[in-house]
Amino acid sequence: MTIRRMSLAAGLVLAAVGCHDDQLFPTAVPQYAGGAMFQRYVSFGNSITAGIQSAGLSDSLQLLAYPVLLAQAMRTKFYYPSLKNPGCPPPITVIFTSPPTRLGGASDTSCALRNPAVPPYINNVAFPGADVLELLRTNYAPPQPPAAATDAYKLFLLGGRTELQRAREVLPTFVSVWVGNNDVLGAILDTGDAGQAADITPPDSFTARYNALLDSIDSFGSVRGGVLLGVVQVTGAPYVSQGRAYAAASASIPTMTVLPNCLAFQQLTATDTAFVYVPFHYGAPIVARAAAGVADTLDCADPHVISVPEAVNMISTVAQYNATIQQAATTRNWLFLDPNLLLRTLAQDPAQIRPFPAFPPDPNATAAPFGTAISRDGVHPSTSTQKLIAQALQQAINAFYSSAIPAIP
Amino acid sequence: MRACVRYALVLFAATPTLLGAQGFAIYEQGTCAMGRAGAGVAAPCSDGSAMFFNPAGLAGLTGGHVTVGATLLDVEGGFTDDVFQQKTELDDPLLAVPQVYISYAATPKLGVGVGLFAPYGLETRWPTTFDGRFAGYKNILHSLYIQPTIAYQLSPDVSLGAGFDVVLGKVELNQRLDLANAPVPVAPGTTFSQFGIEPGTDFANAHLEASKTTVAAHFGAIVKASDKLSFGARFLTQAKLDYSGTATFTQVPTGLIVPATVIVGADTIPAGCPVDNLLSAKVPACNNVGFNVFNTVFRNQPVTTTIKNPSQLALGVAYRVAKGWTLLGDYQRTWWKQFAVLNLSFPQDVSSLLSRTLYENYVNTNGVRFGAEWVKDATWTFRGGYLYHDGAAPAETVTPLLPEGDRNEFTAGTTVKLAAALTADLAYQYIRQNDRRGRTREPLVGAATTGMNNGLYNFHAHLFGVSLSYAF
Repeated sequence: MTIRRMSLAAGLVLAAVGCHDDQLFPTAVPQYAGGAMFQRYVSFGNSITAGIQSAGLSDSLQLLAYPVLLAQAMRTKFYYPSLKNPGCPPPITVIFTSPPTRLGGASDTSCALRNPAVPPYINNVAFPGADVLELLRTNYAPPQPPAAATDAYKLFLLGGRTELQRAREVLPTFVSVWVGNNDVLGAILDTGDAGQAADITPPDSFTARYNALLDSIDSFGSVRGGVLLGVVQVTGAPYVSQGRAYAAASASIPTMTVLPNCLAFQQLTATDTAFVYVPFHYGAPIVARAAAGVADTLDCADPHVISVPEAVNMISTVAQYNATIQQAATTRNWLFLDPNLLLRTLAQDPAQIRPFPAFPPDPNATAAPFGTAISRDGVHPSTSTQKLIAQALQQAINAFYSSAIPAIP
Repeated sequence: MRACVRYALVLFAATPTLLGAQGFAIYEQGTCAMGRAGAGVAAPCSDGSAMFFNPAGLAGLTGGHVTVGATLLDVEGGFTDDVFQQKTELDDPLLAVPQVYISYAATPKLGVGVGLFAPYGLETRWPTTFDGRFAGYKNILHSLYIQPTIAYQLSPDVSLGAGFDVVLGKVELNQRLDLANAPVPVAPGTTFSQFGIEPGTDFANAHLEASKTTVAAHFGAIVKASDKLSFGARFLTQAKLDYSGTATFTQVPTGLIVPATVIVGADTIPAGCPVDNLLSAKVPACNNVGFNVFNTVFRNQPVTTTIKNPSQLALGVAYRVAKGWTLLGDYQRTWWKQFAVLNLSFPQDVSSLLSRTLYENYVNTNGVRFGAEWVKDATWTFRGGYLYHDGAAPAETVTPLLPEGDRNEFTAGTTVKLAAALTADLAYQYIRQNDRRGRTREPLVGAATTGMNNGLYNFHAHLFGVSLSYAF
């Protein structure tokens, strides 16, 4: 054999053995029409997206959150920061005690911490309590925002990093963003002066922050598509009841007096009306005392009650938020989904979203005090509603992107 | 402070190879032999490199030879992770492996010599952004063999040789420590990951440096069946190196701030507390809570471990065809099974929390080498070769330290006579390692499984050999 022949033979062998073996890689692209877009899905959000139900968060509940269900349908790997059962804190089982009774008798500050099995990255980067500004913070160095009960989640779920920081690690190809609820929700949870404007992010500020958030997501350079969910009209949450619902209830509780100012309302549009709203934390003790035979009066001029002008401000602010969100989606040719359509449908059935809580001794007081669509805290969706949200997203995404994400399991 | 715990320290996690033979062995110990793929145990080169390729080859030489050479290694490779398909390239510099051989024919039958070569060693460097940095990002293993050798020609057809090896071993390992895996000192049974600290949060750098000198032996034999056909064998014994050295730990800033007041054990850690302070000193910003880990568990301290350079056997045949052509074939077996576990010991760590056992579970390897040599004339000699060998690391032990696998290698070389007593050798070798799945992390406890594999390693290298030989 000549040197030339030896070289040729060596070259052929080299070519044969030098091929890269692509089959060594596990496939990561979902195998259906449009699946490549959903190869890496990241969900931004707050407590709803994180999976909170009944003011508790645990692995059992995180599994039921809409992004987890959606990712299962997408057939894409999806990790969430799993919190050990019974939770951090465990969910409320009875809301009519003071403090509310939690699973296993745990306290409000009880936390079972994260599961020791740590995922390689996190797709569901949502943390409870997040408003738009907190998604933008680069870290949690001082000056920090005013302390909130949910701040510990910034550590327990995200390790002290922000949603944007954690999401960037994943290089998502598809995102869902459902934030803004906490920019207005504080107004109904405020135990001092519910409905006050100071609890609400001004629309201009919201717009600037939201657009900055989306610009940051754009800067990942990996996102091929997304869905932006609108802000919920929080006055529709059963945590607040219309004053007229209390008036109706007083008919069966003779010791409870509801003043006429609780019947005030203002027609906004053909379908929207602003009422007086009584937060659960203020109204429930009055009902409880009256039911126990102690005469009490609900005066809707009290600052604990959300007045009609305050309600009008909240409703119009959310409408402006959603205009901003829809515009951001349009600019990017992304999908916009208004969750209020779904929630309004549910609200048409009093069993799903109760206009007035089921107080003891009503058997529903334990099982579903705010209706089957809402968990025992009066704010967060129940398991069935989380699934409905996932289904709505799956259908809307398929329609918008011409994809074929299978049905929600 | 008993607080601190079983940190997932993966020290000496393995000893990587990125060179030209199985495991962390290096077979390119002579430029002449390199040109024929290392084949030649039955007919070693006459440049004195027989001290490595077959000590018996020193017998029957004439005069003396001094050969000085080096093999330069241009190593290229990387790791592509499964999820993002992102590739991290090796950061290896151009490496050089030296050889020096001095041989002398004391009588026509007796040859003596001393050789200096490095049959085991490696250097792997990865960027400190690579996920494998927690297994090791800069790893160096040097095993320098100084081998006085004697060979005797029992008859014109049979030669025997032996060498006594003084093995100078040195190891340096650098790795990052991951806060996510670290136990929380004041909350027994929990790790920082359970407080949300994400994997890949560097908080300390570990630097280990240790050395050891030991001895080994090398034996060889050559039998000539005829003028054209000869057979050879050699055996290099295991060198067990009981390394002792120092472990040095330095803090790496996490830059993290505790975002909310949290209660950990009996301590309240306020929002705004820098995690870096929390790990080290007590400061008011952290409510005077400080774990002080760098003066306790992670203080600088002695470390010991044992690494065995395994024994190796080579059997070969050489056949002189005609007109200056010689064909050579070798089979090699290396007992890598001797490299099964690494016990890491920190004698001054009274808690024994740093010590651990790493399960490597290497397997014995087999390799075949084929070479051809053509003596064109008194000035030029040309060589070519091919070799194949399987990998020592099992599927569950393919790591940043040892991303090793089956290899095909091709070589070419030449010898040119520059002057009456001076010759130069040049050789080139291309190493193509089959792509292989592996992992970037070490298990926190126990043995790893292939379930930890999270990507694909690829590797190839260009080797250049150059040497000068002087005959006297």
